[in-house]
Amino acid sequence: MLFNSYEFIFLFLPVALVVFFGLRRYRRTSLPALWLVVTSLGFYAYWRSAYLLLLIGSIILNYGAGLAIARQVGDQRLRRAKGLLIAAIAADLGLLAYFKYTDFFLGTINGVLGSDIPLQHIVLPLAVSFFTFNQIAFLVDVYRGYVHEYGFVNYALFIVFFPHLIAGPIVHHRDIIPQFKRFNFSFSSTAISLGLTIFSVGLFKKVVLADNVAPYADAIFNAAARQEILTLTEAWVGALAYTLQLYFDFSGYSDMAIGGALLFGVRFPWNFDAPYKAACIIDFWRRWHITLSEFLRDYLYIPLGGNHCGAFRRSLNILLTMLLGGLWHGANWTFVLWGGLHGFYVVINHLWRDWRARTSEVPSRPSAAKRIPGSVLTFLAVVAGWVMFRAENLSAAVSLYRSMIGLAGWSGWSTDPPTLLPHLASAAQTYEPFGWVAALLALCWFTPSLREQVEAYESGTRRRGVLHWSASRTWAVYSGLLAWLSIMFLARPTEFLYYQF
Amino acid sequence: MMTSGHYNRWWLGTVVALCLMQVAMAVITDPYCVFGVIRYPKRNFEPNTRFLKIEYLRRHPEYDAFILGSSRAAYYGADIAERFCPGDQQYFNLSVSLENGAGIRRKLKWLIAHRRVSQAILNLDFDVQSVATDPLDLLRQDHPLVSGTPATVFYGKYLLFQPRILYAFALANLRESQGAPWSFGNVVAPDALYPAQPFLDLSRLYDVTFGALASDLSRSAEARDIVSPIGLEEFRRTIALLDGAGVSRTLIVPPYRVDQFARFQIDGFISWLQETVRVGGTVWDFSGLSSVTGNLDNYVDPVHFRRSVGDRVLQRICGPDDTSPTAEEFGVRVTAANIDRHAEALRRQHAQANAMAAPKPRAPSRANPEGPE
Repeated sequence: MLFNSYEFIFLFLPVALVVFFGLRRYRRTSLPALWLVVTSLGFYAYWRSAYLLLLIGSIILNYGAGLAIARQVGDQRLRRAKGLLIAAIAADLGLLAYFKYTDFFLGTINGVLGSDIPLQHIVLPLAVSFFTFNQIAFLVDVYRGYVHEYGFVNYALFIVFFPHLIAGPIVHHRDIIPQFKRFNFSFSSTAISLGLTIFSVGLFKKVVLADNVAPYADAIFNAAARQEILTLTEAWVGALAYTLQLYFDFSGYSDMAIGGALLFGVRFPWNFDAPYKAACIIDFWRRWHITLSEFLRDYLYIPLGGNHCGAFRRSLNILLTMLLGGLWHGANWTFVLWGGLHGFYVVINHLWRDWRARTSEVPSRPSAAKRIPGSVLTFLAVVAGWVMFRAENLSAAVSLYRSMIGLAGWSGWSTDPPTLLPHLASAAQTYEPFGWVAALLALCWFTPSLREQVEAYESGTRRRGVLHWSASRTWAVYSGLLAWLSIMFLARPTEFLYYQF
Repeated sequence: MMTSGHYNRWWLGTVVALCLMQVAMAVITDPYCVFGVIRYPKRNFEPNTRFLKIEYLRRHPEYDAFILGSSRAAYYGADIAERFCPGDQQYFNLSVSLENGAGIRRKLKWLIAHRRVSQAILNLDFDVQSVATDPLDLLRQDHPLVSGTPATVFYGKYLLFQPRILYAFALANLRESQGAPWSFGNVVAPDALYPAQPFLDLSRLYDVTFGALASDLSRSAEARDIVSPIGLEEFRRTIALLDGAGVSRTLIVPPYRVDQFARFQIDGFISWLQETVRVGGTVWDFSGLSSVTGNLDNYVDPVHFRRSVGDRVLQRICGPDDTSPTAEEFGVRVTAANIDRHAEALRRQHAQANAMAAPKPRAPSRANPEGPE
């Protein structure tokens, strides 16, 4: 079930909430959590019920493995605990590899050896990447002794809680499970106000902003996949349109997840924080898919040695982490190359920082004017990365890159949209694509992120200004208006881009 | 600043008020002409023909012969069928855009259940027969009586249209009236599909609300009609349905423009035709290369032939037997006896069609007097 569907907004969410509020008298029991487990499994099964058993089986096995590891750790049998941990993680990764990467590996073998091993065309279970990562983090923390006693219902709810089940944010048991003891059961709570607002903004980002810019990106990337020669203008319009589509789509989804969870009084971590304002690529990864970055840092980069083994090992660790991060996004070499490209960016960024630190004094907070060149360079590097990420294959990406730097031919000076954008549908060969791209870039660069808008209120700063959230009538009407506009644009639900990861 | 409770009530109040306004707008403007509660002036914006034609037939029991198929079949005039085809049936063209195999079967099922049907002319579209219906394509939702969809769900969908639809509808209304191409194929006045109604039709208001609910409740025990995604399977069911009801039938494979025919995967097309002949017995095949399909002037656009071509098709299938040497040049009566020979001819024509230079598409005309593009 999609968050941006009538079934979810008008049926699933209201029923889930009403029954949940109805359970307030049982708040001290596990009944509300059990209700949320049942509804979340229903949410999952709505998509493809056949994989429900896989999800339940994975939860039971990982919970059992967690208990066994905890017992071994408690008895100081660390070697046995480590063996169990490795076996459980291998099983999780094996499951992920089988469903997600079998055809990728077979295709690669066929390509390299010229063999003809038939592809399996295995259907990828929904959310397998997300629930696998959540459970691996749980197992590792059990082994490290960070996990205290969790009941099975709470553990199951942590994995399947529907706001984050399908596409994150990747949440940590340490942050989430304790919150199940203090669900919100009152309609008159700030959590509901914030939840409604954040959900409305997320829905608007997805269905009004991302979905309206998507056709431009699709048409241009599809033309590149067909090896058609793109004009310089449309190559840039396509690359920027996808850059904006992906951000508003994925951050919109994350906002809906955060808002949806808040309706039940559960607080998820922020997943985005104005990433296109980043002053450098390291800063970008602190603002883009924050929960994935943190997961990769805590459970891959640091175990590999992090930055404690010298600059060379640090660079190697970064590259490996980013390559695997790229592969996590999808079974295609373009994702691996995208990860490698970002790994390369981050390594260069670290070396630059090291050099600057050695040769000059770096101000802790550079002025806005000094940040602009870094921000522009970072943005261009990110756009170049998204071209690789979105392209059907390597040759399509190269074709687009060639057009973006003017090597594919020059269409001449013209302001005529059909000349500038020949691969868009004739109805779209207007100034509208430029308008959309410009407006969305302005939103990314010149408005505060939702996190900034909300955190000022939560931290008690109460900054004044219309762009900072407060429990006021203006904000209630404004976010209600966004929700209504989004509902009007729902008429054709589309899948979220991150569902495939 | 206000309390969270007040904030939440204001948020909810805003959303509910705006949604109610949208619902009122949808019912008043009624772009697809399914509510019919308020007579709001409208022109040029294509309504839901599937719905309107069934509503029209409910008011007109005199028709007993039907032409069914996709928008291509809209170019077979009911008046021409009456003139050339034997018998004294009254024909109604029940074609609709993007009609698939399931749509044809369900319409025939409804017709047979509610009136005497003596003749059915089916246009069989190789390229459309298995196309699934988009549940949110508001232009192409079957009447609830035909599809079995709950009436409340059917009308509910029409409350949820996008702002861009409203914008396109407003623009279409501003243009000078271009006639009613959706009534094409039937000799009825352009507005005849719309029932004459008062400014505010309270009986329709009842029909689309409590009436719809009552109808759903009374039909809840009915077995659901499961649709097959495979067009040929739906075709088999259609033939069984027609034969079971003793309805005389004529099956037509339409004259695809030569460049469209050249794009077909010929093995797939021939195996589809063989199965169609095996199930249906006799099929009139107008596909392939001929003086008609090779002439771009016979087509309104790459997909639709002109009305004159539709007339020739009806004349060929219903008229007196043509004994001239060129009789089989346009339209072959295919049976089990000649299907193999015909398949070989089609293969040759397909190779010829591919060898021909691809025809340049005509510049799209803004106003097509002969029907929908």
